[in-house]
Amino acid sequence: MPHFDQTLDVKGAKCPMPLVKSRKAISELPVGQVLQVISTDRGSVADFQGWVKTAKNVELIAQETVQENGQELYVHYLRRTA
Amino acid sequence: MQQQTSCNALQHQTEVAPLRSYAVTDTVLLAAQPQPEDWQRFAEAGYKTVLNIRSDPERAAVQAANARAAGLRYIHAPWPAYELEPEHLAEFARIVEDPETGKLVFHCRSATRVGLIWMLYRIVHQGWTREQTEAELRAAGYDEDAMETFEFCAGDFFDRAGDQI
Repeated sequence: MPHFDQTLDVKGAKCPMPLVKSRKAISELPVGQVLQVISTDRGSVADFQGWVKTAKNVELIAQETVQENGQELYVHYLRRTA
Repeated sequence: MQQQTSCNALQHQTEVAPLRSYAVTDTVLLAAQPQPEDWQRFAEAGYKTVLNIRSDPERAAVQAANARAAGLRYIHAPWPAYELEPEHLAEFARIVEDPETGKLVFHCRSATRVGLIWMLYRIVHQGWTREQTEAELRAAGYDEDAMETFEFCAGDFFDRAGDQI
């Protein structure tokens, strides 16, 4: 698990909510810090990969899938770069 | 929490879900990701144009070939899911109001983002109230989870773009 500075829980939220909430959260982080985003939306995997291709201030450091109480969680690590 | 598998290994599973679609009007179908067999069905149902707003250019290139083979016009407009802007809505308005477009299939991955754009188009470009467009989307079949997403994301759009529209 990469180091992170803040966590955003978007369990239950579906596209584009995880992205919109993450964009807002990352804009409030100092440059260089890492946001961990925890989602239950499987499609968030591709959505976050697509986001960082066009966003100018975000780097996708890692993605992982974990299980919690029988539920799959999709965890994304984003660094604010500018 | 225990790590189970990589997200990349699961990504393809989201690409093969059955087609979910919402006919908001006789000429506009809001849809989730179509499958290869859907292009011919769209053509047979009288649809003329497909508008894809997903970001992946490689997927779009494959889709474009399949859609055109079925006789459909194909437009790829990878508008950002994380930050919709008034110019994206304006571009959508030009497409949907272009006589060349005809009956339109408008799709993203889950059909939620296209529902949001349709809602904003109705409000910003056609002067509908939010209540009117919510009623239209509910009548087309969108559930309360989708309505909650529309409400949050429309609020974000108007917070950022309020003085530009």
